[in-house]
Amino acid sequence: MVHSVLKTDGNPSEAIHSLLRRLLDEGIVDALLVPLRVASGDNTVQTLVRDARRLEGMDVLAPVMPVTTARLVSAITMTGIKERVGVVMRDCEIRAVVELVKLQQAKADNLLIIGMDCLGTYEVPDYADLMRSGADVEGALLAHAIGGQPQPHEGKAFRTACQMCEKFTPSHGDLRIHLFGDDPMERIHVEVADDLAARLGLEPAAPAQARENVVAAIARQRTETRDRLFASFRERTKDIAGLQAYLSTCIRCHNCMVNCPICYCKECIFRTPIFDHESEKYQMWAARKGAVRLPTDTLLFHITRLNHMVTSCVGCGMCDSACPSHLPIATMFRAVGQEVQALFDYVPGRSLDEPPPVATFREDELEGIQ
Amino acid sequence: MADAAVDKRSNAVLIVGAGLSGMQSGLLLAQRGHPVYLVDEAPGIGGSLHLLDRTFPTDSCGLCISSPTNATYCPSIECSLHPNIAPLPLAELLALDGEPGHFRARIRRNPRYVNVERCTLCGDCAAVCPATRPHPHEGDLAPQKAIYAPPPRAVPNAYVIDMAACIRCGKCVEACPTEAINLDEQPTEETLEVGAVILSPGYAPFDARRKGEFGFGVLSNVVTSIQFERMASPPGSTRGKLVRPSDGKPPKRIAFIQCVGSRDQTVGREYCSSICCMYTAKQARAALESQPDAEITVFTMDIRTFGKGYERYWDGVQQEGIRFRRAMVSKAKQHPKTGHVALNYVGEAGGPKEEEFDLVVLAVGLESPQSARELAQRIGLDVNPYGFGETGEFAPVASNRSGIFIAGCYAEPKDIPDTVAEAAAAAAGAAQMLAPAPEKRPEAPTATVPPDAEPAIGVFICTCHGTVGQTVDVDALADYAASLPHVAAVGRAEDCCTEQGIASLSAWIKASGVNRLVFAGCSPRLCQTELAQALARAGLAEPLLQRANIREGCAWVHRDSPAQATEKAQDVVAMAAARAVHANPVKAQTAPVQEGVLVIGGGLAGMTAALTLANLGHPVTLVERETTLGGQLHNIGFTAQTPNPKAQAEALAQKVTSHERITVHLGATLASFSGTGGQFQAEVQKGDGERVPVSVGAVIVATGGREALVHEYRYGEDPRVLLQGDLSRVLAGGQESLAQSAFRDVRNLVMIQCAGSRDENRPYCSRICCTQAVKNAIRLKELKPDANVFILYRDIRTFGMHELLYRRARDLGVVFVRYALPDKPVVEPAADGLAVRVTDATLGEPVLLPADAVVLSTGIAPNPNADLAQLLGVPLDSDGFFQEQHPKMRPLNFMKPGGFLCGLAHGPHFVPETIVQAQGAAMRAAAYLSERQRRSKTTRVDVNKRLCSFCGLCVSACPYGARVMDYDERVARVLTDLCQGCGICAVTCPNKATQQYTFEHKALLAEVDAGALGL
Repeated sequence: MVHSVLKTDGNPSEAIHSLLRRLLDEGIVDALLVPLRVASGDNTVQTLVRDARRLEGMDVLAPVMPVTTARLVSAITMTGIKERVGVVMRDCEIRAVVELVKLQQAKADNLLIIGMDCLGTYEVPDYADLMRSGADVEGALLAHAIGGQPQPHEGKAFRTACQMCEKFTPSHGDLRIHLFGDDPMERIHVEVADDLAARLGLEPAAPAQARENVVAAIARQRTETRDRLFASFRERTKDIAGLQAYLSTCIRCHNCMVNCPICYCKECIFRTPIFDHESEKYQMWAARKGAVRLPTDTLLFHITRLNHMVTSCVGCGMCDSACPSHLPIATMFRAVGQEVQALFDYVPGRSLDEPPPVATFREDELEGIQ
Repeated sequence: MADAAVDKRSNAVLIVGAGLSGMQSGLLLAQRGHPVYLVDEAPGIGGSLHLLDRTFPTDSCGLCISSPTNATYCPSIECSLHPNIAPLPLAELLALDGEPGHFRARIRRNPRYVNVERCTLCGDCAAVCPATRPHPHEGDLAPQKAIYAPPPRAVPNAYVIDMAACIRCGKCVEACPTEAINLDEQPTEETLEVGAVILSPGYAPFDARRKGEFGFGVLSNVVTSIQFERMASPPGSTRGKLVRPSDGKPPKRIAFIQCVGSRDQTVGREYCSSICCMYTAKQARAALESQPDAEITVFTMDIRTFGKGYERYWDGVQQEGIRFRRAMVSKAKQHPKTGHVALNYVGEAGGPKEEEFDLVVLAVGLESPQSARELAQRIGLDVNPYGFGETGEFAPVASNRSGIFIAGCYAEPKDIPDTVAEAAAAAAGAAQMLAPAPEKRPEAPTATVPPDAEPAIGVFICTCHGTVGQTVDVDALADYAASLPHVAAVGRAEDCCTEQGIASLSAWIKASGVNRLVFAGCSPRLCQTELAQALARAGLAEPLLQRANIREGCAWVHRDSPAQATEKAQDVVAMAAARAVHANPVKAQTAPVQEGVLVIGGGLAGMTAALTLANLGHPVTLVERETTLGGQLHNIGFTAQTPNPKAQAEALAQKVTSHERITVHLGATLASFSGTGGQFQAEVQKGDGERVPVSVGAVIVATGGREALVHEYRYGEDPRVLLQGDLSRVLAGGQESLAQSAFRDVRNLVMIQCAGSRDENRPYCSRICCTQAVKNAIRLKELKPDANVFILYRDIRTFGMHELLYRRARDLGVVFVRYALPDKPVVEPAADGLAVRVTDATLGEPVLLPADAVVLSTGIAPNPNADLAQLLGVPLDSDGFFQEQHPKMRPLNFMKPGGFLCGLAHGPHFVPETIVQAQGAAMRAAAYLSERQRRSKTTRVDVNKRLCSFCGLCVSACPYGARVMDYDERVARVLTDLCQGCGICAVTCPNKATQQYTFEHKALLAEVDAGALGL
């Protein structure tokens, strides 16, 4: 990888966009998957662009994530692609792609991953509110890139998953865009694969000196938030009744499953006839236990999803964002994931060469578990 | 196949001796479709297997060998249930007339005095019997009545009277509720027409009383290894607890004395019994398990752990803190008050020693049973001076009388894997003497229940001879079961594991008209074959059976709380019934089976396997990498019995190449291999590059091995350092070739054993090298009596009859010097030749030996097998030899169905052992192919293509390679023939696109729900 620097002349957004355009213009990629601003201007939508003229309205710095790009990459590359596609992603999305490749739900061949430092994201309605109010949402966040903690706009908060995210810089990618550690109004640092650097005409330059400390300081603060949320989760879910209460308002809409980048089953078992119970069963259950909560199977659904997905959970928080009842699902997944992943010495998204724990057997694993 | 219509020979076989060997032979022949008479003088079949608590080196139970396909594999039950096998207990072969293909066997059936069909094993007879005798099965450690039940899994399982102990008081006749006892029963005689006979009467333990110095029979705390085995066994006389016979206290200091009745001229037992070192290691481990603070000492001459995997087992046992003394015990005496036994022995460093123990175990050797010696005499068989059946080096299971074969310990003492191989080889020999079996035997009845029939569940409660009822309220359980949804009938019996129990269960199923069965009784791991048999007779498919464990899981574990045990039994039955509602009969898959067999390797093993199969009627394709057949037979010089093995190789090659059913490809390799057992497709690549496609049903790997090379002792640097193979080839040519060889003027020859083996590089023992060295030493002494031969060894492992060669070598003046690691001998140049510096481990002093030549025993190394293993999809073991399915019971099979192995590809072996394995592997392949044509698999999983996400977790999780990705259809497929039904893939599959038959998700959820665990 080569370090290089983009001059921004006060417009970092444009500097990044022109670099991305060059990828398409130079034929380095045949298509780009990037967020474009919607017609109303208050949001973005992921778009697969082959015609460079259609890049109008590109906005990769918008602090919002309506869907996880990993799901889109899965859809595009499931059976492999001939064209080369450049995809701009946050690190949580990149790590999800790594997991999906291992689970045969995406192919990395011909994929050019463009990783971006993430300044944090708002929920979609919050971001729309801010945009409609005319605030300089991106500028306000970029001001924190040189140092300090990225702060949300007054009266709004980042998504919970972002508040506890300690992995917000790209861990993979042929092209990595670094915002932290320097003043984006003057320059942006990039890390780029050797061959790509030559083709893009990028000159080697020194990396931003302050970057390491800036990133570490943010991660430290996020880790504190994370541990606080984990502690509160664990306090609330000491027993099965606690977990039942934690999830009590689940309406079994399955939105968390639909939006999870990892939950890959073509058809979830909870949507198959196995869970279409005979009508008389409800009366039987009510009779046996005195009462039965409806809809049924909500706790089983979440436990099953935890069981299947928690080793691969990358903490993107799309489950939270999708939940109409605002249940803190992501906190649960990350808190449980922290322990389970440690148990198998497995970090989801770390490497394509590490098989998922469920696919491996080691004689010495799970020691100390009763 | 030969035309059965014109073949006048009998197609039946007689097997005398129904232990492991006889049962294995019988099962294989029965699978080929031959009627089998299984005769044993004991009241039941099973032989010595019933004695064993566990077996080395797997430490698995002696009775049942677990594997995923056969949850419990019990050869006695299999034999008893096989429709082609007629077990004849309490029977003797009186006379045998006729010739191969047309024998007439005169059989006497001795009375049992108890009617097997009527006996319910209630035990009322034994309770009133006043006559007792020592319990032979417990090694006389416990008393037994004159009327007694045989060991728990014996077949048939009914009481029997020992008339020698019976006083004919008639109390049992009165007490028997089913009038099963008849004290006046008389012996009967019958004549059987058979085409061949296999003798496998097994062994008798050496009578330890004959070694008076150990005091067995006089000193109460001196026991034999057989008594100890029973003591360590949970169903044994002390329920698995180690106790001192004198006071019932747990012994802390335990001594094992090896070679009691073996390697001992004073009792006329010069041979080595081969298995005692390993069984002692096993018993020492068992002792430590039951009593971790025990201090164990083993007195031994040599440690003989020469079998596959045994050296590692021994290392493991040694690391558990067991003390070995290389010393011969001269006397034992027991202190009358303390009960301690003091042993006198000569210590390693010399000088008499005395040490006290709480318990002394005598590792008794094996000998030929008296009844077998008499039988040999009656039917005109040659035996060796020790009474073991005589066979030839190149015909290792054939007796002197054509059509009569010998297998198991009756040929010489041997362990289970060698017995299993030899039993198969004897079956192969017998099968070639028989008229072909009928092409097809009638199919077992399959399901008669249409899958969409309204569930009518029968709940059948087996009270296991009343043991369940001692805790669980069986009446309440039956009433509850009757109240469950879809339950149409409730039945009861107390002995579904017996022949009459099976009959009554199947009759009940038919009479009650149920289409699903819940069997409430013992653990589902037990009695699978019996219940399958009952279901088949009733026309109910196996998947329509659900098991409810009310014995171990309820009655036994909750012995102290009967109310809760009953409640739990009700829940367990309700769960099984809920699941039974969703049970579906599985259609068995049938597929055409190829008759042909591919044999890879054209050495002794490959040629023998090919000839055996061809003689059994199978077309064979033989592939040999070299341009000539014969393999190592060209390199071994001479053997103990055969001066010119090369000539044997040529004769064998002539038979192979001229056989009409064998196609030989020389200078050829296997280029591709695919398919499953019964239908493999392969391509043979010939020397000219041409690829010949071959379709076969089975494959036998006989790719051999070779004399190992080493990089020590100056081998390769100094021309005077050579290998045993070099010496053997020179000696094979007698005086003439000796005179022209490097050994011409040798005055001092030093042999070094274990060169490059039994160390960190090759941690296994090569089994043959001690005998090879001794054999070469003897021949050299014969040709050049003035030469001095020194053999530097760690343990001399001339097991079995090879021990006689060791004895002869010592008589001829060969000098044996023991060394011990880490002090290896050092070969160095000297003024007039070489010198070998070695620390004599017995004296503890350095010795310098002059040497004109040094000969290294390097053992056998595997060929580079990795590519072939990968192509065939079979594993190698950690030493690079091919890995068999199970080291005890399946030494010649791969886990992959239709795959077999033999010879040096399996591990180091002597010539006769290689032939035995090759004939055995051929027989197993032949039996497999005929079984495959008759039966198909129902254990399997299926994939719902609509649900499969193609994530591949099942593929990585499957331990048998039975799951594969189909990239065209994007679905993870199941290779049914490789599937062992373990269910790991079904568990791993996140949305249950993979479903295991009889474990469907819907059924499991219903079961869980019925167990009141619903969330």
